[in-house]
Amino acid sequence: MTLLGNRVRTTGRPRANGPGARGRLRRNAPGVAGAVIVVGMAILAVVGPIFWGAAAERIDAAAILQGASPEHPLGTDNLGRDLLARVLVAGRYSLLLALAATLIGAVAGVVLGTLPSVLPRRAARLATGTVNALVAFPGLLLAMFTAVVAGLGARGAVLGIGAAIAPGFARLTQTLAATVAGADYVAAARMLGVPRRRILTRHVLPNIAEPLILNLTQALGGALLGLAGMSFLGLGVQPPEFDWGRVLFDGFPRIYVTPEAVLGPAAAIALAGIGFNLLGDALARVAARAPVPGSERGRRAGPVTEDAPDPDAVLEVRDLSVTFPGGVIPVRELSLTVAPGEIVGLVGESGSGKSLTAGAIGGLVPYPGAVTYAALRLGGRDVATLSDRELGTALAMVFQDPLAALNPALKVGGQLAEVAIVHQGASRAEARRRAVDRLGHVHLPEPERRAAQHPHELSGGMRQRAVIAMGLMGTPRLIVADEPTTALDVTVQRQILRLLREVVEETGAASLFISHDIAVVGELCDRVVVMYAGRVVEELPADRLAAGAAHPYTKALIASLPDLDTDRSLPLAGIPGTQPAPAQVGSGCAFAPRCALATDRCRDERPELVAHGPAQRVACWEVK
Amino acid sequence: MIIKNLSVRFGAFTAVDDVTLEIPDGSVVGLVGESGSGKSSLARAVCGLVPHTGTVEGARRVQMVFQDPYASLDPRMTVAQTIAEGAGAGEVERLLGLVRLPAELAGRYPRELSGGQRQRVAIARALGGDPGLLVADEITSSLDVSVQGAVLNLVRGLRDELGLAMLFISHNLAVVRYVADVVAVMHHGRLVEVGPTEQVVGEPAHDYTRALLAAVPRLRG
Repeated sequence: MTLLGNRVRTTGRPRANGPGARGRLRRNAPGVAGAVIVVGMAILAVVGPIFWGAAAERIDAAAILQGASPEHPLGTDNLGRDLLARVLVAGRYSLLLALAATLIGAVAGVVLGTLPSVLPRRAARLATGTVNALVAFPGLLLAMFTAVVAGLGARGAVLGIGAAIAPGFARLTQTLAATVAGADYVAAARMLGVPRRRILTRHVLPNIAEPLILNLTQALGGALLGLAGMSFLGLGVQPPEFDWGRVLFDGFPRIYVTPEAVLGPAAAIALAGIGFNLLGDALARVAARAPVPGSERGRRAGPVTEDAPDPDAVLEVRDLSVTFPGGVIPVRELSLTVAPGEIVGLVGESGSGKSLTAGAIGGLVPYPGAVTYAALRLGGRDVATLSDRELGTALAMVFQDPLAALNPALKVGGQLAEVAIVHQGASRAEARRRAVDRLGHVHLPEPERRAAQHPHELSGGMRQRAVIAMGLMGTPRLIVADEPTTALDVTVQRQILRLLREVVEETGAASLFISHDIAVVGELCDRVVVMYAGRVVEELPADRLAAGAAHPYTKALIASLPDLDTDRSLPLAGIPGTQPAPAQVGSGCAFAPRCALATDRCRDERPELVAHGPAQRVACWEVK
Repeated sequence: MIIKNLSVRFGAFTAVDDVTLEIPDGSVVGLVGESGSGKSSLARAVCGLVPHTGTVEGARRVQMVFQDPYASLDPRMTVAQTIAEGAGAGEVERLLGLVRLPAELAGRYPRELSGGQRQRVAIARALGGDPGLLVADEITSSLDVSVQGAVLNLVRGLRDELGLAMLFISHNLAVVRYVADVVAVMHHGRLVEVGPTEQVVGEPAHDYTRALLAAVPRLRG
């Protein structure tokens, strides 16, 4: 088969291609609607009194308490003033009052919330207690109490609503500030003798400003509703001033006679409240950069590769690429095979694409990454044709953080049993018996008792054993382990490596072991695949790492690793420079800028991966 | 300087149990142990970041370099602002030179730097506080191997140039062996073995030290 033919068949299957522009707009619709409403309200606040100010104040004794008519679409009040004009004019006052109340509440809240971080310990506890008490106090009661004390009228209402908003802000500020106060950079500043007040203004406040500002938008909507409520209760704006709440209050006695009199102010209040809340929600979502839900996996829409699968390989990957929008390609035309009972190590620095490779095999590349390949077969079958159930039992994945892989709320045994219930249709009792059996299989002491415990009751090493046991609930053909021992101590790491080796030998499953630590890979694996900037640069048997590595990058990695025999009188070898980002990889060898052997050819032309003796392949022009 | 009878208790749990350890000027003392052995609690107590009993004598000032350079620099401050916090603005260039960073980086934000560069900035910030003792808590464990070597070389260079006393904490005995003059092994909050590096690595006296040594991964062949 020619290379070209192969390429043509790589018809690029965008996996999680995501929705088009129309879909994106539909999901952002609430935010857009909120923005339109808020902008509309702001315009109304500016121009309302200019255009309709006179009409709103004009007293007409001949048209008192009228219903809707062509001249007065919403009717008139008890002095014959046009209600529509009054609603349009009241917008400015309503919004200004809401703004004032929000600012008062926010400033008071932020000050109250930051006090615990600057005051001495006992005073700080008092401030925290005050905030707790205020948060527990019903907001409306706080508002009314303050308003009555401060005096009837707009000022009292604004202070009241401000007082009602403040505790929420104080609590938010306090929680956010506590998070930042625990950061290492604050500890560093404290050790350098930076005073507390300065830590607050330089480190804490700038790092919590964003969520506070977002909260402000939503608080504005709340303040608007609250003020309208106060005016409606007669505690707020007093005649001759009027806001939406006041207009509603005046029209309310007539609700059964001329309901249109309350329709205008009620609609205005509701619309403004909805607008601010929608906008606040949308801003918060943008700031959190939350992934948009509902992206398609589309894994099964694949092309059919025509060449025969390799019968000796459990996992066969050819020309796998992972692409992100904007020409970012973190994994480039990667090919590898793993034979039954074999452990292949995939090693590289962070950013080399090794974890994304694992993700692509398991169908876990995050949105908006797209996976393309000429072949990606598990047990001889294209993974795109495997059902979730088949993939779920044929592939086991073990990650770096076992705590994240286990649900903290469920007992360990139950989580394992679920695999058998969902994927194999086992009965509950049967699944549970199997779970305990598997836990014993990975040498977890007292499997019966451990199965009844929650993940937090297990040590890190035990959790990782439980995750491996979970993978063994099915009959995995392949175990993909992504940095499974990085978070563990060396002594525990040794045990987990031994367990992995044992499991592979016993079940005949293959394993792809991903790690940044070339010593760990060299110790555990049969074969090692070295990745750099998204490509495989060398592939060799693990026992040849120490003496037979050929690629300058592999050699440098080994040289820069201190072991128990390193000469302490010499400086450690390092690799100058940094690995290029996926978007910056040029046409030549990606390692050339850091390589002592690099020539002009290396910089211009990329070396292909070619055989270098038996069982070894290298991509380097300088290896002869 | 000397740490005398230092204990750290969290409620009923004793994280550090009556530790006495001497760190002579101009030498690096390596502290090894598993997670939960109390080595980070000891470090934080020496820096005055957690309540403790016992004393730290003879250290004018203690500064610390943290494990994760992505969390230990304020994302909203430039390199120059970060370093100047302890040292003053006039010292930034000299300190950048000490940690082998070009002066052009002064105006950059942490997100524009690589992991190794960030860790150098964190070291420069600590040096700016004119420390009598520098505590380095797992400073290479979140760095790539290719960068780790350069940071370890820097640590050794700083000891020779500035005559710093340093407490270098790591779970990796091979790393500790490379930088430390004296190795202290911590287990369940207590020091189980202290001695010159070659002696502890070559002829370990305690079973736990032997277990740690056996667990260090090695290349075959």
